[in-house]
Amino acid sequence: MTIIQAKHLSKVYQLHRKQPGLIPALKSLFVRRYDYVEAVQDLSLTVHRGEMVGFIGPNGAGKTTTLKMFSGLLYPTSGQVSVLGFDPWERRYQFLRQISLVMGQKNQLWWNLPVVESFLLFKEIYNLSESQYRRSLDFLVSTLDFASYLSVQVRKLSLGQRMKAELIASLLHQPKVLFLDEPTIGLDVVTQQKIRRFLSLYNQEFKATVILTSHYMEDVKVLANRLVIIDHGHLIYDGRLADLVKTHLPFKEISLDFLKPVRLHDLNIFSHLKIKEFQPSHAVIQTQRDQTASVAARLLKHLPVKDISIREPDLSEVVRLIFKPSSL
Amino acid sequence: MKAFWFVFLTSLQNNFVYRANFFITHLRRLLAFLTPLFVWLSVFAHQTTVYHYSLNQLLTYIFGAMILQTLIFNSHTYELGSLINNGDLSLLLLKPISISLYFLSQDLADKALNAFMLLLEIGLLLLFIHLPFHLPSLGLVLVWFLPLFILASLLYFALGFLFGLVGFWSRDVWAPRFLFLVFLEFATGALFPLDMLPKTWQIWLPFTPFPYLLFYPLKLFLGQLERPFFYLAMAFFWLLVLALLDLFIWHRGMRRYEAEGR
Repeated sequence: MTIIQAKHLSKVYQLHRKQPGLIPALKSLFVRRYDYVEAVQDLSLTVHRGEMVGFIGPNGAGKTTTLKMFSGLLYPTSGQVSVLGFDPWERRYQFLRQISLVMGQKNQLWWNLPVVESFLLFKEIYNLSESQYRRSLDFLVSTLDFASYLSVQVRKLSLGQRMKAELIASLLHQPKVLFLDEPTIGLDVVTQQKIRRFLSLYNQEFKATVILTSHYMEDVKVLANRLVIIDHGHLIYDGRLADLVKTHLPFKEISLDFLKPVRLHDLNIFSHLKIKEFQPSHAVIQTQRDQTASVAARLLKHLPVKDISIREPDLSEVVRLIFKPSSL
Repeated sequence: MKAFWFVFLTSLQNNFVYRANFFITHLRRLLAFLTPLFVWLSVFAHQTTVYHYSLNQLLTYIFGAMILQTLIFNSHTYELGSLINNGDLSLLLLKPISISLYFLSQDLADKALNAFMLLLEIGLLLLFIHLPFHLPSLGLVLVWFLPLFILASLLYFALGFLFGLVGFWSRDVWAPRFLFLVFLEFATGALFPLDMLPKTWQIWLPFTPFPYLLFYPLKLFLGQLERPFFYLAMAFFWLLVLALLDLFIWHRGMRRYEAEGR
């Protein structure tokens, strides 16, 4: 079942360009120069029910702009988008009732009041019955381990707790479509893991369709079963994560731990190997996919190997190579 | 409607968070009334009428202007411009709720609280200073004054909303609003009754929305307004014009909205 359908979507922003300094600032009172930036260009995308899509790209690639068009905040310059059969920009009640956009750096909770007051307000805004609200709140609060913070003022919460509160507030109405813009930004590793686990659980429990942007590759790797990469507003990849690694990185990595120290020279006797990391007791090398087995066998035969593991290159490596083609 | 009731209640709670702010704001208003009181008392020391106003009529006007300003001239729409500019409007746009009714519910919470505090303040003031006030009949208050007061509050809301919408086109939302507020004090009759102005001003002022915010409701309260239905109809007309203008500009503005921040 198609949930999101975007056809030739584009968004152009107008930017006021000003030279630094006081004189240009004064000049800008009377004369202004504007530039136009194409944030998203001709983007077409289809997302089905229950999919978890990782949306990645460098800063300014157009990820957030796309999410904002999908959630009805931005009016597309051209093209069409349909989410759950609605034109998002019309902001129909039934559409808004079924979606949620979580922005990692915006606060939708009442700053001076205890968290639960905002939840109660959202209960009414989304017209939830008492039992729906209780069920939803209990699930979210217990999964995110948030019960002890419900009566704490929002401004007294730590960043991690506030992000959890934002997630609960955004999911109370159990949206069918969830847009997550950097949901783990600025959080410590443990909290990031908890939120990832929670999002995965939410996706399975409610068959929700999720689009996630993140700068943390781990988010995308753990959560997304489909990857969409955009750069300068253009879609440059749409497919499975594993396929991306295979098509863009024709090598695998072999990690070696040695029984006794080896010299770099000892590794250099193997031609066509790229040494990624080297310490006398540990090394990581890259080899062509089709030669992995034979290279591993030779390494085991000629070097004092204590432990060996073969792995796919890290996703961040793939992304780095995609966005810096010259380094390939 | 229950959602708006909860916005009302939550907004009301929010007012009680900072105790010092809460009490000092209300005390300030009480003190602010004393300045014009003493100015007009000294003017009336040497005469019995000023511009056809007796002392009790003028004190009722000035005191009434203070009360109406407190109740009518406050609106959360002053936040709209900055919400548009910093992208925080997005948080409201994502909720299945009418933005204007959301603001209006917050305004109502403020007005309810202000009305309650005003009752205390007026009681306190009258305890210490005995002033002769003009009091109209209850019938006039309920039939004419109350509807005109509600229309005036909505008119102020619609005007405030209009100035907030400037945010879609400009970063400079404070300067126009500040200018507007200064102009409003004068054009609505908050500083002095508008019939003290030269005749030429008095001819065109009824054809602007401003006197309907304060001056005509107060004249009605003083029993000095003939054909009150005409003024009610005019206030309603202006409300309609401004509401349609708000709606039109909102839709134009939303096409430009950039939802800044993430």
